[in-house]
Amino acid sequence: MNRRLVAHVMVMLISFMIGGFIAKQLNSNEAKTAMKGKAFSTTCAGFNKFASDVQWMLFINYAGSIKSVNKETSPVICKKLRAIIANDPSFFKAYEIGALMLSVEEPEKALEILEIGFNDKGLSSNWKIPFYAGYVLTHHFPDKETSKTLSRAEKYLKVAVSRSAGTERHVMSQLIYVKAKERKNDGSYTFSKKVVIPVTSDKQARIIALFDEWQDTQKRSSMLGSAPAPIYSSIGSENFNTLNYEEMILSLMQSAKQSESENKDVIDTISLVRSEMFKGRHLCDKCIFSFGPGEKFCSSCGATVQIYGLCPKCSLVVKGRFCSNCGTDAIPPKKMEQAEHK
Amino acid sequence: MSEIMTIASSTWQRILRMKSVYFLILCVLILIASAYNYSVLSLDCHRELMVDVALLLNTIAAVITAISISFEIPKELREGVASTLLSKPLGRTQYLVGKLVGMIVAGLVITGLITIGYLFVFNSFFNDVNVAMFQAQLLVMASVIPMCAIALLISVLIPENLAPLFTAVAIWFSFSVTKLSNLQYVYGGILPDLNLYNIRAEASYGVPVAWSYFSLVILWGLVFAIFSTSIASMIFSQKDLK
Repeated sequence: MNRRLVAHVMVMLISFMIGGFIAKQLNSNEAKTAMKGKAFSTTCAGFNKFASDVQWMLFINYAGSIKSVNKETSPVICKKLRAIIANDPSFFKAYEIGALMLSVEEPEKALEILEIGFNDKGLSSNWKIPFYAGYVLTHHFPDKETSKTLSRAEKYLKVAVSRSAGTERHVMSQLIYVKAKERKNDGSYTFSKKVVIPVTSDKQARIIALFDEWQDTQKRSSMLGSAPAPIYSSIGSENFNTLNYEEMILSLMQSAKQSESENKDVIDTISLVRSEMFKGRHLCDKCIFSFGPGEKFCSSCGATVQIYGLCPKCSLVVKGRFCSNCGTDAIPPKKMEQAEHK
Repeated sequence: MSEIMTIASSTWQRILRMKSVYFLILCVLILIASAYNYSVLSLDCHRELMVDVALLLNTIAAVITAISISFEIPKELREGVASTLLSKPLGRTQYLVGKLVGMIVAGLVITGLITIGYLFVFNSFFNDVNVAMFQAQLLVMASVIPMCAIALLISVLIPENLAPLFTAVAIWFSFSVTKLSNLQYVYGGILPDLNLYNIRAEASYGVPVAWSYFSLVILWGLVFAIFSTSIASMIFSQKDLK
C-alpha cells in the first residue's frame, strides 16, 4: 500500500516537473504567440479567431445598413473594428476596409487603427498598411501640409517601399509626392553640400525628391556592391512600364523645361541634376531630349546640338571603336586614357 | 497490460458502434462546407471562415468526447459495474488507465474522421491545403489526450451529476487563462495549458509552426495526462466503491 502511494507521488512529481518545463519552453516561443489576440481571450476560450470572423460578418452587415460614415456612425464603426482586431490582430482586411471607411470623417482614428496593424508581428511584411497610413496622413489629416505630418507620412511610405518585394508604382509615387511637399515646405535645397537653390515650383520639388531617392539608392548600392533597383516593378503586370530613376527624372525635366522655362530656379535645378546624373549622356540643351550619334539638330525641338560619334577621317557615324568605312581608331589615345581612368 | 487493453477496447468499441457518432460527424462536415456560402457576407473571407469553423467544430467534438468520460465512470460506479470489474484481479489504476486509453482512442478516431473530411471538403473548394492547416487539425486531435485526462480526474473527484459541468469549466479554463502562463511550472505543470494546442490564427493565415514546437506540445499532453491520471488513481485507490 505504502509502496503504491510512494510510486504515485513519484510519478506525479516527475511528470509535474517535466510538464512544467516543457510548458515553459513552449510559452517562451515568441513566434507561436505572434498571432494571438490579446483581448477577450478569457471569454472566447481560445476561439478568438472564430469570434473575430463572426464580428467581421456583423460589421459588414452594419456597414451595409448605414447610408454614410458620419459623426454618429464613425464611433460605432471604430468600436466594432477595435473588437475585431483585438481578437485577431493579423486580420488585414479589417485594417484596410475599416481605416479607409474612417479616413475621411475620422482620420486620426483611422491612423490609430492602422498603427495597431503596423506594429503587429503577423503583418510585419505587409506593405499596404504603412502605405494607407501614409496616404491618410497626406490626404485626410487636418494638418496634412505641416512638416511634422509629412515626415511621419514619409516614414510610413519608406517602410511600405522596403516591405514590398517589387515596388508598386503608386507607393513610390506617393513617397515622391510627400518628399516633394517637404522640399517645397523647406523652401530651398542644397546640392552636393555646395549650391543652395530655392524651391519654388511643384515640378522642381518632384525633380529634387526623385534626385534624393536616386542618391540614396546610389549610396546603398555602393555599400552592397550591386546595381540600383529599378524604380518600378513589372512583377505581376505586363502593362507596367519598367522605368528607372534616370528616365523618371529625365521625363520630369523635359516637362519642366517646356512649361517653366521662365523660372530660373527650375532651370538651375535642371542644370545641376543634369550635371550630376547625366554626365555622359547627350541631351539637347533646349528640351533635354537625347540625340543620337551624327545628329546635327535635335529631333524633338530642332535646336542645334553638339555632334558626336563621327569618324575623325571620313566623318561617317562610328558604330564601335573603329570606323567601319576606313578603319580609323575613333577614340584617340588621350580620350581612351580618360575613359579608363573614369 | 492486457486488462488495460481489454477495458480500453470495450470502451472505444461501444462508442464507435453508435450510429449517432457518424451522423454527428456528417453534420459537422456539412456545416464546414456551408461556410463556403459566406463569401459575400464575409467579403471573400470565406476561406478563413471555413478553416476557423472546422477547427471550432473539431475542438467541440474533442471536448464532448472528453466530457463523456465524466459520465462513464460515475455511472459504472453507481450501477455496480465498476465494483464487479474491480472485484476481479483488476487494479483500480488499470481500470482508470483502460478507460482513459479507450476514450482517447475513440476521441482520436472521431476527430480524425472530421479532419479527413474537412481536408477533403476544403481541397474540393479551394484546392489549397497548406501545412499550417494540417498541423492545427492534428493538434486538435492531440488535445483529446489532456482533455480526457482532465475529465478522468474530475470524474473520480466530483459526483456524477456535476462532473460533466466541472469538466466543461475546467477545459474552458485551460483554453482561456493565458495570463497565467507567466506562472512557470504551475500553468502547464499542475494547471493544464490547452492554449498550447491553439494555432488557429496560424492555420487561417497559412503560417506553419515549427515541427519541434508541434512535437513538444504532444509530449506535454502525454506528460500532463500521466500527471493527471496518477492523481486520479491515487484518489480512486482510497475511494470506497460501495
